Amino acid sequence: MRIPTLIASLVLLALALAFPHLVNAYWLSVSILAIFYAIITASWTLLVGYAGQFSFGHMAFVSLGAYTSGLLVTSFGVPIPLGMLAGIIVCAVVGSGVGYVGLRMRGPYLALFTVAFSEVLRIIFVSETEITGGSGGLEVPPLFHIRSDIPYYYLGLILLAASLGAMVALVSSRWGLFFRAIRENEQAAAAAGVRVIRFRVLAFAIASSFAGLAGGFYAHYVGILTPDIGSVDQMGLVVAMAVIGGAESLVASVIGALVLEVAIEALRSYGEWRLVIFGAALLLVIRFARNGLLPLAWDRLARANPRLRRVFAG
Amino acid sequence: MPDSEAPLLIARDLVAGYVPGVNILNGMSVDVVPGQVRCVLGPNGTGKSTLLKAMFGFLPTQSGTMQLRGAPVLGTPPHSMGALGITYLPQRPSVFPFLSVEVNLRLGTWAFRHDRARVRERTERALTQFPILRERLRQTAGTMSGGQQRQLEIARALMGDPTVLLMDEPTASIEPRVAGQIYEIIQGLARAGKAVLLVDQNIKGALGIADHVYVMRTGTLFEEGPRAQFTDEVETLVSRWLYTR
Repeated sequence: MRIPTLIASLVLLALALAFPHLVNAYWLSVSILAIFYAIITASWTLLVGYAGQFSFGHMAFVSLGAYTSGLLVTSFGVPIPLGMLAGIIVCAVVGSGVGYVGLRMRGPYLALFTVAFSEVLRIIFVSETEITGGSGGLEVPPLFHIRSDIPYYYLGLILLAASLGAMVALVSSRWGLFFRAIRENEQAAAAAGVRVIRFRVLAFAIASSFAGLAGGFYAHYVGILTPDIGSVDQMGLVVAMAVIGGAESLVASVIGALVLEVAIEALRSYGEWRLVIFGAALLLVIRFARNGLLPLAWDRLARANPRLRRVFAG
Repeated sequence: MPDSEAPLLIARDLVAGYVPGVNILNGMSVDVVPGQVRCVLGPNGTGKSTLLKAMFGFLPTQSGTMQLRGAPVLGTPPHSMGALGITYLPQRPSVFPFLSVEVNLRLGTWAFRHDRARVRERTERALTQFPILRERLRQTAGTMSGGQQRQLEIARALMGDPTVLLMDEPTASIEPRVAGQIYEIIQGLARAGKAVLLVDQNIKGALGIADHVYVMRTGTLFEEGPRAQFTDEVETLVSRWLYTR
């Protein structure tokens, strides 16, 4: 690692570690939710930006992970970490199933199929009131029995760093190359020796398991689960975070999620108009910066200052 | 090139289609022979591309046989064909457009990626055979011209040192001068001992390099023979496609 990159990384790490002690409880809570969205957005980017599998059902896996952990803990007394692990496994298995059933679908057809899956799951959570509590919600025990949110912030930060590290390692590996090859040309990928079916299903399973992890963390942080967490509105928010940040870069999409979640809260006084603002921002990004704002900004900065190019490269 | 070499790949009576009950191939047979370019010609929609897809495993066949050196290979999944020494160049552009030329080439070496010396040797051989790729090694493949992309596709297909090449309209949408270069490359591959099965709409171009010609109609073999049988007969050939029932 180059020295400027190392210095920048250490400063960022110090800021991230000191953050809970620099802000009030409200902004700490916002930052924990921003971390939650960052894990989801990164895993959606892995599925869509790298593997090319356009899914609008990613929040369904967040809700599946959340409800799996919540129900196992509340109904069967399973320890919370084991409940969260079970949520990850269930999401991986169901994600494989969705990926397998959707094998013959591409682009908008796959997107519509995943929307349908997402709505079916949401309606099940709404309807099965005796098990899930329906729209009234399911009370879930917290991870930490203390009044401060600080432990959640650090745990979220660890989960985000571990998830992002694992995803970056994955996309840098042979599997990541296979994902990109399938995204760009399935037939040519198969002709080059890539097991297309296996890797399409794997992409769904891996991305869904990260969504399940985020869901489990969310469940035991907020303490009450409602089916709305898997709604299409929430999915739209994740798509906006990834597209505005940069849906072809894990780091850019994470930054997009962190910034957008904070911005949504900062603009809360504008009521519903803030959604109009974000909608307009999304349209402008799609029109003028198809790879997202961060890659565009990096590119501009690097062009203006070649030394920065070395920093980004390092 | 003599027309009596022993075939390496023999496909017999292939029947296949995309929709149940509607067959596109209705018992098509071809031989692919080392050192030869064998060319499949025919009108649009007659099943030429479907033949290659069925042979390479992209399309399941309902009946028929295919043997490579006497061993049955029909039904082998596409990702395993490379290990058998069979490669396929699809009709549509098949470079990975957002990956660099280097990574595109690397994707052709996955079957033996741990053998670094072999990967280096194959890469060097490809870059020597296609010098334009050396100049563009770090460039994103999708930003190259159509002809350069076709060269990259052929180079990638050759990385695994295949013995059989199934090529679907390699000069489609390419300017005539560059198409000529592509035909020269294909002919050179056959001279180097590769067995090439070429599907083409460009009758003159294909006849220029073919050793043996198959003419298809409605999914079956209409006629076949050595190139000499078809040369200078392009207009007759086309009129026969159009008017023979």
